[in-house]
Amino acid sequence: MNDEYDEITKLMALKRFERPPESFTEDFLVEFHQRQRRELLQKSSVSLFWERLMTHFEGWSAPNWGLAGAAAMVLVAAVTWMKPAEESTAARPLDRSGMVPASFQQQDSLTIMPFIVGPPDESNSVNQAENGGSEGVDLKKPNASETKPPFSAKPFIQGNQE
Amino acid sequence: MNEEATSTQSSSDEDRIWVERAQNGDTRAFDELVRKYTPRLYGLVYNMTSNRDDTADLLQDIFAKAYRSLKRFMGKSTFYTWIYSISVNMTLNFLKKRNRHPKLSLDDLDSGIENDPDFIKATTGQNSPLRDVNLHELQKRLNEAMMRLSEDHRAVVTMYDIQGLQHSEISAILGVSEGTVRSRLFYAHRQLQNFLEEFRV
Repeated sequence: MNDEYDEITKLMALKRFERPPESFTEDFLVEFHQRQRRELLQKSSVSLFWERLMTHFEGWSAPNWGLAGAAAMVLVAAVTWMKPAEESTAARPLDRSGMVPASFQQQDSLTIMPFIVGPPDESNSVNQAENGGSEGVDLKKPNASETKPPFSAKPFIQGNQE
Repeated sequence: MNEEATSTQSSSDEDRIWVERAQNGDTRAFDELVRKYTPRLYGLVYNMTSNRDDTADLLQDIFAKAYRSLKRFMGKSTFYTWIYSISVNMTLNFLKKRNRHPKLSLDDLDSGIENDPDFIKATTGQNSPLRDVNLHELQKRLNEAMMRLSEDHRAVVTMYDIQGLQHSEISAILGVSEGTVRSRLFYAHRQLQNFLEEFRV
């Protein structure tokens, strides 16, 4: 089997004699130079500038990159500091026209404070809320007995029951 | 064998000097590398494509790519292995494209080897078993046999049988194991054996 493959190898080795013409290499080199010049002319000025910049920085060692990074950070900080103040929210005057003082604000229907410390007749708003709002509800002022709070407003003192 | 190893080492050292000079912008150093490797890479590309025009165009692309990538060549492999890898990969890509748009038939294969004095001497010498064979026919059949192989098999046969590279060198160039190289050679030889039955001696 190996002898058979040796024969094939010998036969294929005959293709070693397929060589380029003698002048091929020099002609090839001339064409190669022409191609390089053509490619160089076709390159945009931006890519040439970038290539030169990269070549310039290629010799830089690691510590110098650190220095460059620090310089870039200082530059960014300086630009941020020099930004115009009008963009800052701290210096903008407040628009007070639509504001209402806290003391004028109406209490909403969920306030339970009157049950605890307020007079009994202010509990109407809570009854309305329990009955599903004001719809179909008699809004007349109720009697004092009807509006009895669920617990006594009097303070409870232990041992003072009659 | 020792002489061969010394010669290879010396050639590699010489390449390293030229590469360093070329990396530092000496274009003449790169020209030296082009002069040195053009004939060898021509053989590689031509035997894979079987077309002289395609070979010349591909070689231009290969050296242009090598020149552009030279700054990134770190010397982890020899320049010889590196430029061979570029050549094989670019030729395989070219062949894939050509297969998608086939315009080359086996009749278009270049010929002319039968006029080469070294080839005539090797095949028609008194001791040559091929002295009665039609040389033009032989060359045609060799090219046809090569073109019938798959691209990967053709690359291995070109480097091993035609260019005389070692298994380890081919393995480094292709980035595959030596076992894979041997396996591809085995199957390629088996196919070639059928194609070239009548010329076997």
